[in-house]
Amino acid sequence: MDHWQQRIYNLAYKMIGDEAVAKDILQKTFIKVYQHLHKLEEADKFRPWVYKIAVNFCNSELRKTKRTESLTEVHAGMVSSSITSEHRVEQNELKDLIWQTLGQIPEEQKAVIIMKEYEGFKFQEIADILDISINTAKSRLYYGLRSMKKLLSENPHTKAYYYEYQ
Amino acid sequence: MNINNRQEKLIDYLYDEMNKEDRAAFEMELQADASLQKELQQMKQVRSHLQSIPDVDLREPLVIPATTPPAATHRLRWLKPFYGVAASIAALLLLGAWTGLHVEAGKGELVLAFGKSVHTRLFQMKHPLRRKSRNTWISIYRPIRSRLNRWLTPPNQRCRTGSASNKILLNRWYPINTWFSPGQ
Repeated sequence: MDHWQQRIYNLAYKMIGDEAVAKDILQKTFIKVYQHLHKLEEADKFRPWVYKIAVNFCNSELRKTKRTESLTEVHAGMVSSSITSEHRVEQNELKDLIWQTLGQIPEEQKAVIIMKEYEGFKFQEIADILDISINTAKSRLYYGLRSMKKLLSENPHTKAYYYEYQ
Repeated sequence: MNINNRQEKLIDYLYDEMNKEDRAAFEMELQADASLQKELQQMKQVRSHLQSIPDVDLREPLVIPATTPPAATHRLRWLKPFYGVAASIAALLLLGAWTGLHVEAGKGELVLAFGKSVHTRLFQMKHPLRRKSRNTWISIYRPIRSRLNRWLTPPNQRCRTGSASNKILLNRWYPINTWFSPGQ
């Protein structure tokens, strides 16, 4: 169960960008899971089912408050305080920047990116969780990645990574 | 290749969700299309950047009950708070029946007695009207008590008929009568 808690917490944290809210979503998700576990007929559907509950809680939280600015604040706190080398500083700054960029793209695109990149779902599973078609899932991922590329290539710190392909 | 088909294939190729034949066909297209190659490289770069974001550790795992709480939806659930009250009343009634408790009320007085109540002469003199009310009460109460007493008595100790025998039984079952009766 710890594995699922960790995964759902990461999903919520990457979606919302706030540790306390992510924990709250984790708690709500697992309370709902325990309350409705008897309704789950097939054990192999547990994973998409749990994620669907969590994503719904994330979406309702995002609807309540726009937390794009908190992404920056929270992620700033994630940078290790024991940075010793310049390279390490650069790497952490880059992570911060990517984190911020992820927070700037539309929520429905971000949800697909997080589920695909960090949770490793197949497109069919993403489509089932989000109640969309497979083509819509692929399209959201495509436009999400393109939006990120655009934002990162406009940023002076990450422009160089994309320059060679322009 | 239309635009939607192109996006779809690019994403399938990028995430390795393409079968062998489609993959080979797409790679042929890639070789012939420089803009497609560029787009693929940019997407790969974004992916590599996304992968640099680490997982966050949940420092304090949730404490969740080990068993599934049942969905308690019993129709008489609202009665639950009254169970204690009902049990207390039942216990009091049983205790009252066992000790032969009876209550007399009337003419601004309340008399509580265990077993057979016996009124002294002084008591009767002070309140001449009381006797009437007491007799009324006894006429209601005694038959009930007699039946209850018979019901509580084991069958092998029951008397067949007669109030006199019942009185004896009453004394045997409720010897407390003799302790509190002031004497006749």
